[in-house]
Amino acid sequence: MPSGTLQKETAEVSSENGENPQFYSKTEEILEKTNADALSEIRKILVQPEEVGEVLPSAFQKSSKSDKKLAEATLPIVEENIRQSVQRDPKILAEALFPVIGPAIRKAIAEALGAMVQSLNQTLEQSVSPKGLRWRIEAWQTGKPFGEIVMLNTLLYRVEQIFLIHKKTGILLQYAALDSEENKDADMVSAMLTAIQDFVHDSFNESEDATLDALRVRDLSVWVEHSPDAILAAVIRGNAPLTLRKTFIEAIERVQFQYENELDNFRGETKTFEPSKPILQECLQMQVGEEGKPKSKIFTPFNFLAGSLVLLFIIGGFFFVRDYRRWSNYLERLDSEPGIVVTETKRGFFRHEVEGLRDEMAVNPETLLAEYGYEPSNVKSNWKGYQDLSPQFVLERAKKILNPPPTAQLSLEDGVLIVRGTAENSWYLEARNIAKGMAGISKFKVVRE
Amino acid sequence: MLLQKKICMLGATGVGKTSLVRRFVQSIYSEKYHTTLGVKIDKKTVNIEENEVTLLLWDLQGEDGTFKIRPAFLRGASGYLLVIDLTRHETLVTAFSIQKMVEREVGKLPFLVLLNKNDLTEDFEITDEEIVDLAQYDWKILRSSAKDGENVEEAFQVLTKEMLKAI
Ligand SMILES: Nc1nc2c(ncn2[C@@H]2O[C@H](COP(=O)(O)OP(=O)(O)O)[C@@H](O)[C@H]2O)c(=O)[nH]1
Ligand SMILES: [Mg+2]
Repeated sequence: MPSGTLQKETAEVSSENGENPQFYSKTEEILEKTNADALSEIRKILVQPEEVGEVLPSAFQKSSKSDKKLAEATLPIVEENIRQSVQRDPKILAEALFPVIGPAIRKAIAEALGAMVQSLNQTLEQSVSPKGLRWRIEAWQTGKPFGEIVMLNTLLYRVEQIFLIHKKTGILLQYAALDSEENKDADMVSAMLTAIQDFVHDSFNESEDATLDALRVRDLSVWVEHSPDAILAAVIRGNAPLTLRKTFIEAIERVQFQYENELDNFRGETKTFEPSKPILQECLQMQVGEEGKPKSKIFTPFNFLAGSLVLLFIIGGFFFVRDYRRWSNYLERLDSEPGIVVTETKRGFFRHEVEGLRDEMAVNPETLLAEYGYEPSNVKSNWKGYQDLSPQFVLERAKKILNPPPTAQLSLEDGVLIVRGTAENSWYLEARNIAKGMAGISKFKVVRE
Repeated sequence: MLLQKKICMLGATGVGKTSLVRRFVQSIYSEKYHTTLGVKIDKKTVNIEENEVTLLLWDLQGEDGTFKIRPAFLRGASGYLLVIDLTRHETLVTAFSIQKMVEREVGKLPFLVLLNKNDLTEDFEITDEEIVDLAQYDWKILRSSAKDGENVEEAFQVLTKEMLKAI
């Protein structure tokens, strides 16, 4: 019984503590034998790389589970490897990392830029309004940058296009857009979106359902929602609130539910999905103004619109009334002017019209416009010439036509043109002839003093 | 009937997949994203009897001669063109391995083999005997040239017909 012997021997070694040389050498011999076995085992392992290869992975695994020692020990080596690899040919590592880093960087940059630009614009817009003041206080209270508070409070967005895509084939099933014009390449965009999905899925190689949720290109972003057999992609301009996702998810779920079989047995007949268009159209939402926390109901887009309209009416009303009074005053004045008969008037928004008869002796109505605050271009005037037979005009006309010398004076009494003073005979003769033919003059009478 | 079909362009790098597509459609997109994404997408409508079929052409990109495709890009395809370059023997070998890979990943699909660059008669590396031998695999084969347009339209027509039969 070797084990019994060994036990006994060991016991004796321990009790007598090396004072028995015989036992000592025996022990040594045994130990040596075991050592030799172990050593040869170890040596064997060392000379056979395949076995090291077998042991290493599990060793690494165990080590990394229990503590970080191995990781720490190998870190310098790994770092050195990477350093050397980069030194030799940076392209290799760059290419290996690109699928992960590229999109991440692009996304980060686009997001940062988008946020910056929007916050800047809005900061400028809002910093002087009462709303802006409120947000300043909020920023001060929460310790967040003002721009961020502004952005949280005003999300402006518009869902411009909705793609319903068959997941397996990438084929566009249905499409809806804000502007009625059809996007003739929607089916290619759809295929590309699917390809991008596949690309991301492969590149990150995470779980089976690792998917891409959003792409960003400047102020356009593409949001993607999945159902088992379909994809809904929304092209959004601006920054939409995350709650919009719920709308999209509900839409794609409805499509999946209603078209379960058609999606499953899809053979390329997209017409089948035409009735789903209203579901997509419901997703074409937009939001102007404040979104999220509806802190102040006064500033809803509707109220803003209504308020603007009221203001417009008030301003418009003021101008309307002012103009109404001006215009009637002008017309009254024309009426009171001798030699002018107004026959028709029209009041327009920007231009008025007046029509009538005007004796050439009467005042020019256009020169009166300025008195009432009008430019000649504000009023379209149409005056027809006529002869006013009121005595004043008959006399005026006679003076103008007969052109008496300064020594003679004309007057009119009951249709009789009377000449007083002196003039040459030839003038008398001519004047008499002309005066007889003039309207409003029945007689030509010379009074010599 | 109006139909939409996805088809893939497969074959070793440089056999002429992109050139064939370019010959077939008037491409509007820059081909830049092609290299990043590993696929370029075009479309073209063909009429077969009473069917108007819009083909979405997925032009898959190979990698350094050794063709490695993302299996995900094959998903949902109704058929494919398997392109071989008559002037490079190794592209025939690649075609065999692609063919195997496709059957493994997505199963049997209608396809058509194109022996491309048929205009470069001087430089053929694949012999007529080898081509006759291909008959045993039950492949549908057409000689084509993206350069002078030989059999380009026909190739897509034939493939589309095959796909319609397979429904
Ligand atoms: N002579 C000739 N050259 C071709 C033909 N098809 C493609 N090429 C050339 O072959 C090269 C590779 O073509 P490409 O379409 O990029 O191949 P891909 O990698 O399969 O997409 C290009 O220089 C083409 O001009 C062909 O039918 N005849
Ligand atoms: Mg190519």
